[in-house]
Amino acid sequence: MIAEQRFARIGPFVYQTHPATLPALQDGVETRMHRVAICGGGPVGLATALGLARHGVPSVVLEADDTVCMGSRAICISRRSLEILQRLGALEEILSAGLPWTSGRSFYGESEVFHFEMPQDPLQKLPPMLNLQQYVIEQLLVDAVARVNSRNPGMIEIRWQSKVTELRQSTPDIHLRIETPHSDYVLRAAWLVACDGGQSFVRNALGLALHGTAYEGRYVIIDIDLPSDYPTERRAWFDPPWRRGATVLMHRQPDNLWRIDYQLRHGEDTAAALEPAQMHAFVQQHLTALGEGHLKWTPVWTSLYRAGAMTLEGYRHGRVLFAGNAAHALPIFGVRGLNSGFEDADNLAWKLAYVITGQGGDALLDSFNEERLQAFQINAENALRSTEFMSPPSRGFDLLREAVLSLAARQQGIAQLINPRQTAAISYTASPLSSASDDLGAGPAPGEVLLDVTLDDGSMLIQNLGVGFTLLIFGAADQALQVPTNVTCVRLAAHGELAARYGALEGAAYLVRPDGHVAARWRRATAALFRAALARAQQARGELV
Amino acid sequence: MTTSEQLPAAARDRVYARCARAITQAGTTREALFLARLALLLFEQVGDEARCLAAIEEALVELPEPSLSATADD
Repeated sequence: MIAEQRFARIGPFVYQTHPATLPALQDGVETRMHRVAICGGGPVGLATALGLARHGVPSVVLEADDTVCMGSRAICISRRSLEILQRLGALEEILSAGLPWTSGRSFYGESEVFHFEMPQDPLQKLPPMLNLQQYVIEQLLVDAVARVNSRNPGMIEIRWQSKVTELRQSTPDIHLRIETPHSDYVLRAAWLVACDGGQSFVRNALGLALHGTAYEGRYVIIDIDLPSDYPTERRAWFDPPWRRGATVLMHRQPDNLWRIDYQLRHGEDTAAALEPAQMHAFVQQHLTALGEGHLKWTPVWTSLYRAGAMTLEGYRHGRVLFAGNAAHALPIFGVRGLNSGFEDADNLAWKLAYVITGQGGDALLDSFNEERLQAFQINAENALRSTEFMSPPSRGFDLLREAVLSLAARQQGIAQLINPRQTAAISYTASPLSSASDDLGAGPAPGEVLLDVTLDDGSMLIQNLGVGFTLLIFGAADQALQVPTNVTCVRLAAHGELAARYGALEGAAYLVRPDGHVAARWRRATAALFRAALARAQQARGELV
Repeated sequence: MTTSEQLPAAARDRVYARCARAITQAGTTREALFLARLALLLFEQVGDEARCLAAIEEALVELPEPSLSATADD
């Protein structure tokens, strides 16, 4: 593995370093007891903290480093993640910093054999994908935390240079030993969310391990500064003349930063491949082949990647919850790593907040486990298909891939096998939070994510959702529904394009969860149906039939 | 293995012979690739997952070991 590179800046981005802080202590124990401690201040930890804050629950984020991540790392944000970032109050900043894109091209030898467009409804405002360096994503989330704190002082406390070194579950609290440059201390929290990444301390401390499939393929990731004007899209080269037998990927990031991923061949020595001279020679060859060999470029950040689809058997262990890479690992192809981490945080935050504030039953957290395990299976299945194509694991996959690539230019159906299957919103089809519903012929079914559409006033539907549950009502208001005050009602016309997208006629209604997934929908809502569905979606004690 | 319609005997003979000549034409260094492409094209034409999978399974049954074709001027 390459030693962690340390940057003071990358292009126009300047790393802000943060001092370590020490809370009020008594005999080495922090006097204050926390409701939620979040281990790891990466994107998933920050998203969890912001999500909890949205529901009024304060948290403390423990981050071992003194700044955001070194290097670009995850660079593709899905539409679903953008919807989540909207809820967290960071969408505007992310959109203005990132590069949206919708399509990609695949080349075999020297010819283009496949072109894909990601699904985009004309009524959808958000792009299917946006490229942005992870360090910028993290910084914009840190900025969002500062905005939350300026409205509600102390809502989210990020403790930099604070490394968790011990974990003890002593009912009912969790005791964490925190190591700082000043001194060590013990922090107590009622709940712990582990967002501490692939090498999760919390996971190891609980004696847990990831299980699944590791793949042979090794990829070098190299980010370069390159003044290219090529548009933002995903390009993949299979067996290019300048790197026979390998696969190369290229993505644009803001600020003239370009991501190149290239596969190491079977038997190729990892250490030798990571020699700067070797990497430099490959990049120069690649750029020359693209007609950009004359552009001046400089390497910025490199990493080595090995594919795997691994997960914990469960994401809930009593009062300890796992999210992001601490919970699972996914192959990079199809960009499900960070995006599934954001989905974990989005799924968990409202449920944990509801349990803590008494608005929902403890079983909500079991549903977090069930829904996100189901999401992992779907993600792993799709990522596996992508990986098998990008890095054929055996002779059979090699042979069939060559057959596909060599036929693709003439055979549209077969060419679909090249599609990189970019991440899409996951449907929780077997969710315990969903209620019996009507088939409306169109629109999201229970467990699916709301289709975000632009409303007549130009706003996005997701901007009109409440912090808690939302009831979308089509047509004239039905007073008899007796909607409680903590449920937001959004009234929509029962005709027009939007109603058609939702298969909605007069009186139809959708009950939407705080994370934008549909809990139930009816051709004609009644007070009894609505109340029962709401109780189930909140796993409210004593109200479940 | 299920078949929806039988190939007439004379046509089967002709397809067999044409495929044999095509394999020879592809040559031993490319025969595997040729057959892989042929399989993909036929999957698309069959357009039925169960029938494709049944054909794959059938092709694996009693696969001769060693295969006489393995010795072809390697």
